Amino acid sequence: MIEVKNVSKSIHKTDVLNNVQFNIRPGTITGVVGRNGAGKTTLLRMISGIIKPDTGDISVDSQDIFQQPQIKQNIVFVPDSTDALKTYTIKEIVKFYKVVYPNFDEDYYFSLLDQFKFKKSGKIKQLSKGQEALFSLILAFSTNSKYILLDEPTDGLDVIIKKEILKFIAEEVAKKDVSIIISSHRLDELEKMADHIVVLKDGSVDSEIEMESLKEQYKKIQVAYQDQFPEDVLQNIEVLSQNGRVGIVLLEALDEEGEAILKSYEPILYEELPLSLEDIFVTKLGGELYVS
Amino acid sequence: MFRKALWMKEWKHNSLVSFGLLIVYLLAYVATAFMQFDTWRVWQNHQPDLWEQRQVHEINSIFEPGFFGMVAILIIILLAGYLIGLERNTKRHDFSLALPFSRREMFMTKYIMGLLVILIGYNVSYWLAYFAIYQSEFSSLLTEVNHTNTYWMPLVAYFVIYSFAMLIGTISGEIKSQIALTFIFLIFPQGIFILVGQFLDVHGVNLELNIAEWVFQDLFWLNYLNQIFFDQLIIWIPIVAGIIFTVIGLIIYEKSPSEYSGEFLMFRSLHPVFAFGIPFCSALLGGLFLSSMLSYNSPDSLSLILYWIGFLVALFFSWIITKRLLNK
Repeated sequence: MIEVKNVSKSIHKTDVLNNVQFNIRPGTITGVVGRNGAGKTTLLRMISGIIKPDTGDISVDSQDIFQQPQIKQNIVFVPDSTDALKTYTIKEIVKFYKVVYPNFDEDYYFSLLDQFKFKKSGKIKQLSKGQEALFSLILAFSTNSKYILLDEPTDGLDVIIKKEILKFIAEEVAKKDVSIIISSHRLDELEKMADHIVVLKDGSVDSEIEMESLKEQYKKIQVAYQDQFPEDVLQNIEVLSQNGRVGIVLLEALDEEGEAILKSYEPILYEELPLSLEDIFVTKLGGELYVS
Repeated sequence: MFRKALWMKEWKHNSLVSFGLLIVYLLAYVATAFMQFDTWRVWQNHQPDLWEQRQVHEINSIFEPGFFGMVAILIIILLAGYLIGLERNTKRHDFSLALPFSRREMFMTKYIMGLLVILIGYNVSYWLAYFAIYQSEFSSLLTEVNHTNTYWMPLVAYFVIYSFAMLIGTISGEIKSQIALTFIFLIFPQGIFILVGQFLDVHGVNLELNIAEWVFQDLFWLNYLNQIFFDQLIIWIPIVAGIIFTVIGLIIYEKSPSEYSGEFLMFRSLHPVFAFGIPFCSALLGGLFLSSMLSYNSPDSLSLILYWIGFLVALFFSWIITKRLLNK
């Protein structure tokens, strides 16, 4: 298990992370969600031992990652860019990874290269951007590490390669006992695969969501009124969208007071809709969803 | 402590500059020896008197680093830059720190690899040149060479300058600042005496630089490449200094905050020192340049005025540059 305990970090006198605390259980996919600048990459760089926290601890399987760096044989960090690999050839990087990660499965690596129609020689920098992203995932999963940290793995990729990558991640997790931590601001991608979502806002954990219990935590309701949409509802309830007399609102599951406000204006339509993670993100974090 | 993966990684990125250093050493010793043989034969046959006078100097000059020694220093500083600074310029720094190795192992692998590159290149070249002469008709001249000095003095110079460049690498955030700061601090102990001496001089105070003779002699590491100084220098000074630089470098590397890699300095706490030091020293240098342009018999008042003009102009520009560097 990865335990992040009360971690804070300031860079250039700005608080990037503030008292962040959460756990990553074995065999799960955890999505770290937040707008750009929320501290997602810093958090992942900390978990992989690149940046030291100012305060707090990060432990992997009960070992401090900075005191016992050898524990990182069980962790692979896949950054959003493959620049560090570009000087290597496809064969050289295998030799290197085999020495670094004792469980590296070379046969599996080459079988994946076959599956995705990669050349087995040549420099990594000759790959296209999408291929590079996929290649770094193949490399990471071939290490058979217990934890894989993916920083915006599909950022800037076209739809086809994005789907291919997400499918690949999902298949690998189904096959192996591996924990994945994915940072992203693309909730639609995380929603389909994550078990656990950590929402970062301004460097703090705004909320943690277990996907299984998500629907029990919130309700998405479409309401329509005979006359105009009540000002009281707009003021006191999270309104996801509103068009004339019709609106869609988000309520916490046990928010009886909110429900009472909605019903007090005698809606002509009151219908619960399927809830998406995006609805919660927009409401919790505010503003535009896909911030580039 | 031996980590094969780290050695593979470092060799992958530093082999080119390492071979460059080997070539420079080969040029310095082996190529020079072979090229001199023909000249010596001509002198032997056609100008025996001249040869008689010069042979001791000639054989010693083969083992003096000279111009190629200075080139070797440049490449050694570049090698240290490749080992630490260049990695920090790129995503390779994150990649390295995410590997399952301690920072101590990382630094020591870098340091030992660089040191081995120097030792192997130097020894191969030095002893190949020695062997070539030994096999030639000039072998008897080898007895005229003081190998204790000619072998060890340049080697300790390479050692101390390399260790110093690695130490500067630990505080620098990228290769350009590492190389620039290495050059500046290599001559800083002597430079600050000259700068302050000139400042006092134009203000009518005479600083006796003889009191700091050891700074100009023993702490000016390039002197250890010059045969003229060999007999006056204490070999233990650069050895001890090199060890101290290495230990401090290791401690700093372990503590350096990697979030500032790619910036001018790795430590924000050093910014005030540099924010004051760079403009101050540049201002003194500007004053020195301008006041030195006057002829010897110019009036003191003119010298003082020019000094302060140079001082203020250099202060102004260096302040702007320093602000940009530190706010990068």
